[in-house]
Amino acid sequence: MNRRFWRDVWTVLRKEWLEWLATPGCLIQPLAVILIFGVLAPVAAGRLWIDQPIIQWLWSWLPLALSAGMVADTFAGERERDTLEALLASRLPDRAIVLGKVAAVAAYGWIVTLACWVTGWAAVLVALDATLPNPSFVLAWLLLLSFLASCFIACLGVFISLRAQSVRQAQQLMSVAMLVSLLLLGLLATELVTTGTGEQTGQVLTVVALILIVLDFILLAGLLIRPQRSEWLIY
Amino acid sequence: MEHLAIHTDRLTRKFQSLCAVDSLTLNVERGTIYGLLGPSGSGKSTIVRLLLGLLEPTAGSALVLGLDPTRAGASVRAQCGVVLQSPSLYGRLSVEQNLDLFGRIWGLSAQGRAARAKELLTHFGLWERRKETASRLSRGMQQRLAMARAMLPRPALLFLDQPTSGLDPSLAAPLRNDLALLAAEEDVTIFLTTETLTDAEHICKRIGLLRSGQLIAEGAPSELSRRGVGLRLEIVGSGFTQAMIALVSRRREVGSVRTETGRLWIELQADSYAAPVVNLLVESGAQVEEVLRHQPDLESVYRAILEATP
Repeated sequence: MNRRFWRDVWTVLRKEWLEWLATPGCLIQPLAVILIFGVLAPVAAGRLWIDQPIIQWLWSWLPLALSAGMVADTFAGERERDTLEALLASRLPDRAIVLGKVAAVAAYGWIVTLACWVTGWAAVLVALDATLPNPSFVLAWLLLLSFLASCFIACLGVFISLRAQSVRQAQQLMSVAMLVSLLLLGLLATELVTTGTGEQTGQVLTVVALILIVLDFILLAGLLIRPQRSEWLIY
Repeated sequence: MEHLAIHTDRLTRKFQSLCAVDSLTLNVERGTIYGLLGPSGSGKSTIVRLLLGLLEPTAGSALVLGLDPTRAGASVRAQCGVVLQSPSLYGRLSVEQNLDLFGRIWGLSAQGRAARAKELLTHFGLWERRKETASRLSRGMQQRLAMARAMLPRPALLFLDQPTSGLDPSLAAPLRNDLALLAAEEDVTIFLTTETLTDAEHICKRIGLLRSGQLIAEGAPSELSRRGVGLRLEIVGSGFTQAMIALVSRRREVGSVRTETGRLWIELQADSYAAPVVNLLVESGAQVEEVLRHQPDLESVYRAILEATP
């Protein structure tokens, strides 16, 4: 994987974002999410937002809801719009196409999640007229978990989109995957509430991070080891 | 093999029980325009995909620019431009964004991309519309943009998979002319698949006729025109009676006879001569003023070959 490969990955990522930005109303969803999860929900939580970092860590799962629509479009959408074949007929390596699409979706989910966290803090501090406590511990875990969750949903989504016959089918499969993930999120929240924010919290978060790392690794390996361009075009 | 841009040897591709490409052996010389002509479903697009390494053959082999597309698909694609049946454009992006994207994919520098895009958009009459989104262009314009995109990296070999499909003749003709002009200017080998005989007839040096994945005839358009179909005689005169027409129709070298006021149209079988038929008419009492010989057009040849092949 030389410099040219990474330039190809960047080209695909850039294309995905350009296409997304050119879609009418593309900013409505992220702005609505930022308004709800980055302003209204933190303000409603009030002091809990500051005292209970669990709430902020649960925000790590936001990419799940954010990226589902975008990720279904990656391969299945291109196939439906007849643009996939032109991309595959170009000189782009298979892995660069896959990685570029995964990176585009993951970056979107991660950026909006972090934006929610930043606006959440700003809204709470303004609403409560409070001062910002040292956020390094909370932020470090949020950065890590939301990054891993973004990668997870992007890899899973691209995996599904590659094999789905249509965008609709990809979205249906993604919604099933989201339900399973939300169930896991519920279990995690329960565990975190039970353990509180002591030393055990770090252990629970470490286990969650490790599980996500393993899942990301497996999914990414499944996408990148011997990708078959000929199987991406469904006849 | 050096002089060949494409060489296939019994190339075969099956989809379950359907044999889309059946033992295809063909050679395309560098610097020529080769047309693969066949009806819908005859395997044209599958052949293009096989040659680009987008599909793996079930049997047989292919060499594209000296490389095996199955093993070195990326290297093959790096030297080829492709225009597909559908323009395959990013409809939400502008005309120039579409070209810029593919310029980046081909690794052109920012300056190189801009200069080449201007050159091609000007050539295809799209420069003034470069800011418009691709989806707002007419189908003909979209196909021109797809053509410009394919030519962006100055490919050694250009695959055109039914580029005029769905275009009305008034749009297809200038596109064909542009293509032929550009091919000559840039010294590129073109592999064209089409259902439209006019495409193949006007710009191709050689034509292959495809049916059910099999190559059933191949040659230069002029060679093919002489194959399988004979001359068409237009005999101007008078006194063409029904008995006379029946007499002529019975001759071995005559395919069909049709009358018009003051004219007799006779389709001769392949490799037949006109003189005995004209003599017979004169001897039977017809007043022959003029005999015009019409070479068969490719359309008749195409139909004749398709009908003759089991």
